[in-house]
Amino acid sequence: MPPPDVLEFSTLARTFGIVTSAAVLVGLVLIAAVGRGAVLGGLLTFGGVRIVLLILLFALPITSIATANYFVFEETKRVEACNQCHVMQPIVADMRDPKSQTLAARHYKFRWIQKEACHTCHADYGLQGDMLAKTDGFRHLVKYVSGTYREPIVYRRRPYNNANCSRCHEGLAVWEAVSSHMILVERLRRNETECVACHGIPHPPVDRTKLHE
Amino acid sequence: MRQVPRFRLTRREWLIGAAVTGAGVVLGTPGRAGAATAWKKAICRFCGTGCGVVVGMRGQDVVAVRGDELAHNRGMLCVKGASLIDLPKASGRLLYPKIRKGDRLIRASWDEAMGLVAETLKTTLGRLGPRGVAFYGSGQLTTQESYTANKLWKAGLGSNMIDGNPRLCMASAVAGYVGTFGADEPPGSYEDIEHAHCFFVIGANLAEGHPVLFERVRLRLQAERAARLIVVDPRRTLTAAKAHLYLPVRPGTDLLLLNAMMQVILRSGLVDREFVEAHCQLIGPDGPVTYEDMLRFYDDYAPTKVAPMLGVAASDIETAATWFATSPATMSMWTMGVNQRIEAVYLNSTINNLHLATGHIGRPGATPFSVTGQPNACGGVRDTGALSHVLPLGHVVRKAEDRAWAERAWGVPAGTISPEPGFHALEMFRAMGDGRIGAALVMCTNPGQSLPNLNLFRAAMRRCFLVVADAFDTRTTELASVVLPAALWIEKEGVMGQGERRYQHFPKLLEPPGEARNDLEILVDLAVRLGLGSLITARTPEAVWDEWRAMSKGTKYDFSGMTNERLRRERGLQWPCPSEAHAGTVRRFVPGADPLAKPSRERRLDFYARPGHKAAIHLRAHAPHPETGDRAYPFILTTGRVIDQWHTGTMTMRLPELRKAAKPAYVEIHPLDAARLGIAPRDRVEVRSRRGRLVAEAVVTDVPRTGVVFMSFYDAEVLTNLVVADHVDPISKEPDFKTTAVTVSKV
Repeated sequence: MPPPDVLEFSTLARTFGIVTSAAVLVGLVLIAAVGRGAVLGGLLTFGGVRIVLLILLFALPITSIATANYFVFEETKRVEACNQCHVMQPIVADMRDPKSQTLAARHYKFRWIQKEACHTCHADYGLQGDMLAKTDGFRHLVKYVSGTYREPIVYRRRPYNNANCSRCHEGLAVWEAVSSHMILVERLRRNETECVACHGIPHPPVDRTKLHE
Repeated sequence: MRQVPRFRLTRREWLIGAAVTGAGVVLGTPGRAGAATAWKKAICRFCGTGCGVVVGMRGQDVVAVRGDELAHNRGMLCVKGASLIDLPKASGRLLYPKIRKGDRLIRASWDEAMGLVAETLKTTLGRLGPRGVAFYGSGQLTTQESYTANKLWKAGLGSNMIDGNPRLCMASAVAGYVGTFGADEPPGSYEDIEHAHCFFVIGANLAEGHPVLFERVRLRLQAERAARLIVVDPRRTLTAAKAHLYLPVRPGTDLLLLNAMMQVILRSGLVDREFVEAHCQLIGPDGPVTYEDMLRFYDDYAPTKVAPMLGVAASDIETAATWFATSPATMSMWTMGVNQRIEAVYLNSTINNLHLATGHIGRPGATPFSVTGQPNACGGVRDTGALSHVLPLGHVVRKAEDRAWAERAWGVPAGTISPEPGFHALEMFRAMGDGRIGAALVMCTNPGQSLPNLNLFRAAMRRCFLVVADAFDTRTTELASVVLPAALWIEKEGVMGQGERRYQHFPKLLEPPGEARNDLEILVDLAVRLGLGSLITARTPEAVWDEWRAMSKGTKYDFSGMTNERLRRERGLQWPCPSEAHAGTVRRFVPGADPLAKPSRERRLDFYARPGHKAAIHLRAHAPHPETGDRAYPFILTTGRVIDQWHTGTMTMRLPELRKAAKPAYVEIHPLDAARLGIAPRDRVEVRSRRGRLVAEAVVTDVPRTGVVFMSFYDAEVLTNLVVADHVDPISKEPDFKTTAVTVSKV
């Protein structure tokens, strides 16, 4: 059984965003349809209409956009979000295969990463890692939709940023007990030697010799 | 008021800027991944695991080296492999030939140097005959180079005086496999690791010597939680630290353990009697024996009888035997702790016996696997027969029909190959000292540091006309009369065969520095100068490979399906591979998997290389080691490897990170022994044997058991092997580097 990818707050935000968007639409329609009559009928003052419009045209849309963005940001951390593109499916399937020995599968099987299994190892692509990861995701989306990619897809951000590994592993006694880590510590820090160089491939294998043909 | 310059954009500029930024985000190639412009498949230069690597090239520069995800190692490397990127830039490369003038080596041209070598070889041949000139090769030469040297010596000079450093590491495994199965090389493969339920690791520190294989073992133990790891070693190594059952036997006694395990298996009903009846022939010291004879033989080794000598509990022996026999699939792995021993061949046979008695062979995960130390000891030297007593592809010098076969294959007149085997490695170097050998060519190895009893053999090398081809200055080049600069790693093309019968090709990607040449060119040049150019007609790696491949057709090695083109494309192929359509053989002797094995109703496996198609269970009796129980030299020195250095450190000590991490030579000693001798950590201690002495720093640790001290041998400044004794296994002639009686004292 895969661990549940539940992000309750983002679900709440989504509901809130849908409700506010619906409110804006309904309000605007009402104003357009019956607003004049309501003002003339004395139900609302002219100033009252301005406040309602302010809310409908600015406050609620801003809230709606904010919650929608928040929802997308949170939602795309879920494995299922990555798994929506068929090119990712072999990689996710391998990760969920209890017999697979890839690094991703072992982290998944033994619950070393409880949730956000893709995101956790692919979050940090720089100082504003999260944001860059999203732009990368957007790039993937465009390539996917426009069909400008080749299979099997290949991870191009090599060398892989070891900081993603060291976030959990560095400084642990078991890590420091390995003499090879101490020998390579500077190289690991500079990403000149990747952690995955010795610890097995993270995902199903790729023929690197064909990459530049 | 100061004018604040204002940043203004026209609408047009803003739109262009936005479009460019947007396109950059959408299409931009991230990271530095563009550094390499081409990735080329090659293999690691270091140990016998033979890991596949991909080399990232940018023009003429190596900019990245990574594990090859499609190779058998599945993208994994160890700290040495991860440091390969620095190897092409390693300092201290030999750049031009040198000739000895007095006590100095003076720069010379290739023509001068090779002219001198050829002239001296000719005069020595005239003076001493074919047995007076020797070749000492290496499990690190390419297959093409070892093959050519072997042909040049045996078919060209009519001399079997050719041996190599695999005599120091794998000769015992060869004799073990040949004795049991009638054919050399492991029946199984690395991928058996992924199927094994019990690992029996004896005399091997895989965690340091073969880290990539050990990582696979660890992954298997993670994936199959019921799987068990048994480790037998006098030192509690990093491998032993992961064991479910660790047996710290006394050095030189472990044949008792293996025989005791046989006794438990035979007497506790764990034996696979049906398998033994159908597949095995029982052979005692004086010929074939009955099953009852075998039972009586092993009864002398009951656990309670041998446990005190072994220094382990009898119940642990029983547990080991039970786990070994009852697991769904058991894989044994061993290296130098078994092979570099006086009883090495006996140990090898008895490990094979355990697998035959329990039927743990020829199924996924069930196999006796001898792990090898050099990248091309198997393919280059064992398979080409570049040793003094053998001919290519499992043929032997002593058999007339084998010599006739080789003479036909090489196109030389009948009677060209001498019927008398040459000297094994130690005898060869001894003969250099006493004048029986006058000239020797040493290629790609460092006997001046790696032989045992170095005082004796270094003096012998000085007395001989020694030609050394190497990429770096070593403790051997300093003894040479002529030094030839050799190409290294991907500065030449070749094929190497690692420990699981897999032949892998690597391309030439760099030019060698200075005037360095590859060893094949040197051998061809020598052949021409000796007037044997018409024999050595294949002069490129490609041509030599085709000649060699054709020779294998119809033999038990048949790899005639491994064309140059296929090897360039595929991640290595395992022989037998008799046709271009054949995918290679993962498990030998298994009908359906091994093209040479014939199916039969009576038996599951076909041991086709033995008479009657039956494997041999040899009963091997233990004798006490001559170095043990010496009152004057109460400690046993055992030598071995550390994770970040490889062999004599010629390459690894020149890689910056590894060098920085390398401690100067040190002696591991148990805290109880250290306290008794008044030795504190970091004290300078003298280690003295009947052969020599050295001084090194003490490391006080409970890794070795009491009474045992340990040293590695990578430090060229402090030669560990000055102290190590030069006993050899009487069958394989492999020296015992693991058991030397020494004294230890504070200086």
